[in-house]
Amino acid sequence: MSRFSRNGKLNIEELRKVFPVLSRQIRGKKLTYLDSGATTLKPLRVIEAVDHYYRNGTANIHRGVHLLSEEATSRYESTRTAVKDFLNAGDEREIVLTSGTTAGINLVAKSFVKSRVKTGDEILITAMEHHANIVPWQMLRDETGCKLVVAPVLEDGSLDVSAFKSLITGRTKFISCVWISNAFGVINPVKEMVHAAKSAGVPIMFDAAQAVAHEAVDVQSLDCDFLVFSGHKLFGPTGVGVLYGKMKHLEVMPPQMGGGDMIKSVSFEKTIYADVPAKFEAGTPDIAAVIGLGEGIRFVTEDLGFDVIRAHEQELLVAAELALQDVPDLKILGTAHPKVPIFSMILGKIHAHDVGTILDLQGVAVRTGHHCAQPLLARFGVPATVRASFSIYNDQEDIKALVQGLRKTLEMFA
Amino acid sequence: MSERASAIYQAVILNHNRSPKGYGVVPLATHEADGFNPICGDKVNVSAIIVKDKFVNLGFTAQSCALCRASASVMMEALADSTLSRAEEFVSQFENMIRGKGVVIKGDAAAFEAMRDYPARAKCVLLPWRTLTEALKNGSTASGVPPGLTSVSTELGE
Ligand SMILES: Cc1ncc(COP(=O)(O)O)c(C=O)c1O
Repeated sequence: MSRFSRNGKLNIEELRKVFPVLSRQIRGKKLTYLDSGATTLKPLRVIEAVDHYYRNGTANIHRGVHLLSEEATSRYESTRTAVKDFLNAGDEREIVLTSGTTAGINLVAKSFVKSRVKTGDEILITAMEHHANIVPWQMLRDETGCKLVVAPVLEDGSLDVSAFKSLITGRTKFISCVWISNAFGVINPVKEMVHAAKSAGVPIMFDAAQAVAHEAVDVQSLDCDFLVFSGHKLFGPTGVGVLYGKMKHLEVMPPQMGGGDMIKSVSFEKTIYADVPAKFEAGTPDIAAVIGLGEGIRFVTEDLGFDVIRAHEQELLVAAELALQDVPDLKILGTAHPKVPIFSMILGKIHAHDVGTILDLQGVAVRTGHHCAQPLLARFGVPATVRASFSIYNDQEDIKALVQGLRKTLEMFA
Repeated sequence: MSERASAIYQAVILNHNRSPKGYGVVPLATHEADGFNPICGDKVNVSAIIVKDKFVNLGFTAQSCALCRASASVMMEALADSTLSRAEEFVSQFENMIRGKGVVIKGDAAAFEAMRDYPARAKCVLLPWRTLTEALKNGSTASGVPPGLTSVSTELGE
């Protein structure tokens, strides 16, 4: 039993009360927030933790002996502990606090992969990556002459796992893949992927940006080399994220940014870097956001728990799939299961932006466009879709509002 | 249909979207440009034959949302047979209206007035007009240029 559940069943009315935005009127209508894939709403305990830091004791961390600084440092570091437990990492030092998923991927590309590839070597990704897991590798390719190999996606939006496996060869030096597709919500068979990578002795990283709010992550049992995510998709603030890396990797990786907080000692002749993870955390970080991320994690683990989250979201998934079937001319891309309730939709010949605007006028917030996954949409021959992404605070009313909005759009363009 | 939805998607706009004026690439155009909105992927081509500072033929093609397509159609209608200086004046009047800075224009273009309350969509509506401006500046440069390279929309800002 947790704060918002009884016998594994979510008390959705109580839960919705701790998300202040949900009581806002949008263009005179009740808000139907279906854009959690872009960023989740923030619960009170996150908002209050950020507020508390600024209101009761703004101070810098890891410097100064005064009480405020000690408090700030201890709250900042408590997030690292929370992340370690959340990911079930073996060692707190394996948790590097970053500014987000994008920062984590770029750091690994530059600091770990770059020195390990040369002309002819290959980096393997999939056709369903977010631009954040494409562009850094293209930059590396252009710099080093290595090749970027892309594992294909099947017609139902799932990864072609056998092709993925066969693309791992002696030339493959690194694998970086999305865990849950942000465009389709399809969940990749991460265990099987790690197994294939390990058998070939290739290090593997997961972009868990979309995964962390839906799935329990256990980096030890998964045995991946790196994993990245962003706080703002986990009910936390923007501007903060996590890079998990195995200690043996982090230890040999050179820092990419020099400055305060990442050194042991500095003289003009020689600087000795701090240990992992401090050597990757130069400069004053977004302290409030880090504290907020800790609360976001505690919100998930203490107030909800993944059993409750999964049960509620799978209920939404099934109900929404059923309800959307009744909308004429609606096509959903990425129907493969297992998936989380994210729907990439095409409504007849109506452009995604027109659908998005008409839904917005009904108070329904969705994302329209390419969802930073242009190659994936190109694979399905469309430039844009309408994406409805559900989270823990959505209910059956939200499904109704979406379906109603889609029907209105059809009427208007009939 | 909600009142607000009907303010944006007025019958005039939906009709222009359904049966646009001047749809097609003008053969042997003297002026042409491609416009691209990287945020939503909308693509527009505007082509024209201009003789003695006057439009003799004007056309557009678009892979875009309804607002962009209807806006291009309205532009075709408003500027057919117009002189260049009149066209330039009209383009800037239209843009001012969309940005909520100017008076409302008469005719079908007025249907876009409500867009000033939806800046996120103003880019869609302005894309054909920006592409025309680019075509006038360029002369016939679009042929051979892959669509998307003349990214007019970068000037639109966020
Ligand atoms: C799968 C995936 N990867 C990476 C990112 C980038 O995350 P951020 O912009 O927080 O760095 C996102 C966010 O949109 C995402 O959904």
